[in-house]
Amino acid sequence: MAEFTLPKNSQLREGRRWPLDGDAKKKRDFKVYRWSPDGGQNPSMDTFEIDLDKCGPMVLDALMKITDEIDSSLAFRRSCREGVCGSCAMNINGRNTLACLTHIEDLGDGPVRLSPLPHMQVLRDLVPDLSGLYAQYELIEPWLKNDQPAPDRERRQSPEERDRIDGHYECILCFCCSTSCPSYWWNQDRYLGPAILLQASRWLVDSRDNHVGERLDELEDPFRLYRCHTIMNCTTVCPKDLNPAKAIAGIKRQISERG
Amino acid sequence: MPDSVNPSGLTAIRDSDVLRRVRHLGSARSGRSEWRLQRFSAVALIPLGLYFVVSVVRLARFDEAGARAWLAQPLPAGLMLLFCVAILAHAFVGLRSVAADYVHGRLGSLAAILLLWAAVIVLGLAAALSILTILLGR
Repeated sequence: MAEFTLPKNSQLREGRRWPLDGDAKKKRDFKVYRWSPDGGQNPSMDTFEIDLDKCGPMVLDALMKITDEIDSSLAFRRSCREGVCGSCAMNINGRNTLACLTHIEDLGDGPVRLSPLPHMQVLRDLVPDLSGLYAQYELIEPWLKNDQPAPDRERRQSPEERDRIDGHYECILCFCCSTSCPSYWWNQDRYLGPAILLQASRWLVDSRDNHVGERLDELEDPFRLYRCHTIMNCTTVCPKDLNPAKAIAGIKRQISERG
Repeated sequence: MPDSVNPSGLTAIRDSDVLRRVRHLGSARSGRSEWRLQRFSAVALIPLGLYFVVSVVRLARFDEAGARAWLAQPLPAGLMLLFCVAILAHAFVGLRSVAADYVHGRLGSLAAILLLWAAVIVLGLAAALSILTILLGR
């Protein structure tokens, strides 16, 4: 059943406040979700005061400042700091996005609220468990499948055929979309979600792949595919400006064209 | 310590099990016809719904005998029957989808489906028999 209240062990406590030493002209509060598997405590929102004059411009810079100078026990994922790796996906002021691409200045006034991607098991602080999503990615077999013998050189493709992969291959699997989708919240054990369906579409539209029928067979399922109700949160939040909702509509159309 | 109580053993079991759980019982290879029924009934309901609303507004000026006489004609009776079929089909696939979204567990979803089927059959029969009774003048 859909849950409208947080389970008891997920209810948030007011956390610790980490005040700034001395005066600062541009002080900003960062409220950060904290939870550790040790100790059996409920999660809390810690408040870190940050002097923006002594901090880089992005939300990720503030997080790094916290681990470097205030509390080194804060856990979050990050790698490339330029929107290519997808590691620092989190919920910033109620919207899933990448911390490295979000300007602190763009977040308006008031405290900045940082919490992990919604409706995922939390491993620690801002780190969600993505193993279900990776398994779903494996389920769609995201590699080229072609029964023809491999040619001596690369498999050829016309420029038009290549263009059809645009809007698919740019996905960095940050899962901002899947974790913003209510359908995915309620049925993440069976619904594949926008990120994975976008990748499924990436192989369906590739002219070099000739297993389209088998791929569609695996997708045609009331839960795997048809839990999408074109809510469009996926397209709204995608930090790479991709359109998973359109890709899912494309898969439904392909299945409908089969007969 | 046996694997089942060692936390890292539990993590290892969960990690090795996750793909199996995601694959579940495999693809049902269905859903297309339900999706189509939803779309087609929606398209059909645009003209049929307009016809229904206009008819009901016009019927407000009639007494019961007048309304019965109107519904005893083949075209209004046929369109009214089609409207009932389309709206019940649309409501059925829509509510079944809502149940799939929100009602989890074998027992709950089975109960929801049976309840929906029962409601559709009872309402459909009642609507069809009412229209046919008037059409056939009984």
